[in-house]
Amino acid sequence: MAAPESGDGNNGAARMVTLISSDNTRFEVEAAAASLSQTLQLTILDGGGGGGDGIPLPNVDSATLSKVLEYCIKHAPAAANGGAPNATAVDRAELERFDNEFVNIDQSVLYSLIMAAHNLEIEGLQSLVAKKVADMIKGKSPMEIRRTLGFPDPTPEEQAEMNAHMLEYGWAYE
Amino acid sequence: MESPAKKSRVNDAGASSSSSAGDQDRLSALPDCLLHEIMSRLKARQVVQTCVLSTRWRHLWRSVACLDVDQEEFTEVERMRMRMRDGKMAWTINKAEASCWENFEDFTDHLLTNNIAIAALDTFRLRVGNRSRGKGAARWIRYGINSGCKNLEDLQMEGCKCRFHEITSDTLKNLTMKGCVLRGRFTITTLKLKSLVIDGSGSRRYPGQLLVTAPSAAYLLLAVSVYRKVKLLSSMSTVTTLELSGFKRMVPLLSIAFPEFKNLRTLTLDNCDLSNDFQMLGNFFRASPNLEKLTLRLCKV
Repeated sequence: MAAPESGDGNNGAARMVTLISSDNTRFEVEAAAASLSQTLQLTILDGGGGGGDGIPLPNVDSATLSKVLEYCIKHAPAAANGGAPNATAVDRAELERFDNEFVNIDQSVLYSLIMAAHNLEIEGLQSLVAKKVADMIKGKSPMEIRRTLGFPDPTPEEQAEMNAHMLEYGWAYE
Repeated sequence: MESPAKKSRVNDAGASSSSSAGDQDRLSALPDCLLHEIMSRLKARQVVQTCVLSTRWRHLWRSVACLDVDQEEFTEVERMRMRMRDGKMAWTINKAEASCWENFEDFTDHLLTNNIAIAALDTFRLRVGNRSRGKGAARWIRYGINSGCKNLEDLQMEGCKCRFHEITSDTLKNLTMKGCVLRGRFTITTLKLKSLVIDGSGSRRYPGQLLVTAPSAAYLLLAVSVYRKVKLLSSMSTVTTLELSGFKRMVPLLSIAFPEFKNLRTLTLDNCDLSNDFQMLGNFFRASPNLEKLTLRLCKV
C-alpha cells in the first residue's frame, strides 16, 4: 500500500505527509494517497510534506480536503498498482460502489470537490464529479436544469433574450 | 416556438428542486474547462440547449471538445410528444422514427456547418438509428474529418451509411464503425491510429475491400467478413490485441504470405470457422511468437 517509489528508504512503515488546508487544519496522510494528486506528487517526490513542514493548500478548505482525501485513500491501492491490472472484479465493484456513494452529496460540495480535483490534478475525482453533475442534467429541458441546479430565475430581460435565442437557434429546439 | 408540452413539464419540475438559495448557481462559477468536461458527457442537442441557461453559458457549447450526436435523442423527444397526443404505442414508435429524421438532419447540419468549433473537437460520436435512412451521415463525416476536425482523436460511428470511400487523418487514435454500411473499396489511412473496431453487426458481410494503413495500431477488432482478409491483416500486423469474429476459412493468396504478428499477445477468435485442420489457428501460432492468451468462442471445428 505504501508507495515504494517515494524513497522513504526504511522499515516498511508507510511514509506520511502533512497537508494544510486554507483554514489551517493539518491532515496527515500516506504519501501514496496524496500522490494521486499530480500536483502533490511532484512535491512529495522532492521530499516535501514530511516532518513538521506540511504542504499548504491555500485553495482548499478543510471540509473539502477531508472529502478529497477520503477519495484518495480509497483509490490509492489500485492506483499504486498502475491501474491495477490484477485487481479482481470484486475490488473493482467495491470501488464503483464507493464512487457512487461518494458523490451522493450536496451540490455545493460537488462543486468544491471538482474545483479541488482540478487544482490538485486528481483526474479520476474530477471525472467522477463531472459525470455526476452531467447525470443531474441529462434529459432535462433548460428550464428544468435551471431549477435543479438552483440558477436564479431569469429577469424579464434575460427571459426576452432567451426567447430570442431560442428563435435564432430553432434547429436545436424542434 | 411551439412547445406547450415542454412548458408544462418545466413547471412540474420546479417543486422537487434540491438546491437551496444559498448555493445558487455555483456551477456557473466553475472555469470553462470544467463546464466543458461536464458538457462533454451530454448528447449534442442538450449541449446546444445549455446556451439559454444564462449569459455565462451562452457560447460555451461552441467550443466543446467532445460531440455526441445521437439520433435517439431526437426519437425520444418525438415519441414522448406523440404519446402525449394519442397514446398509441406501437404506431407511435414507427411514426416517431420517421418524423424525427428531419429534425435530426436539420440539427446536425446546422451544428456542424457553422455553429460548433469543429477544429476544437477531439471526440466525435455519430449514432444513426438503424431504421432510418442514414444518408446525412456521409456528408457529416466527410465534412468533419476531411475538412474540419484538425484535432480529432476519437471517432465513433454507428449505423451510418458511408457513402464515401476513405477516412484519412493525421490525428485519429481510435476509430469505431459499428453497424455501418460500407461500399466498394474503403481506405483508412491514419498514422497515429491505436485502435480500430469494425463491427458489422447487422450486415455481417462487407462485399468489398478494406485497405488500412495504420503503422502504430495496437488493437484491432474485426467483426465483418471482408475480401482479402490476409491482406488486411498484413496491414495491421503491429497489433498487440486482435479479435476476429465471424471469419470463415482464410486462404492466403499465393502472392501474400500470412503476416507475422511480432507484437501479438492476446488473440480472440469468436464464431470463426476453424475446420480444415485448424489451419487458421496454425497460421496464427506460427506467426505470433509472443502470444500469451488465446480465447476461442463458439468456433466451428
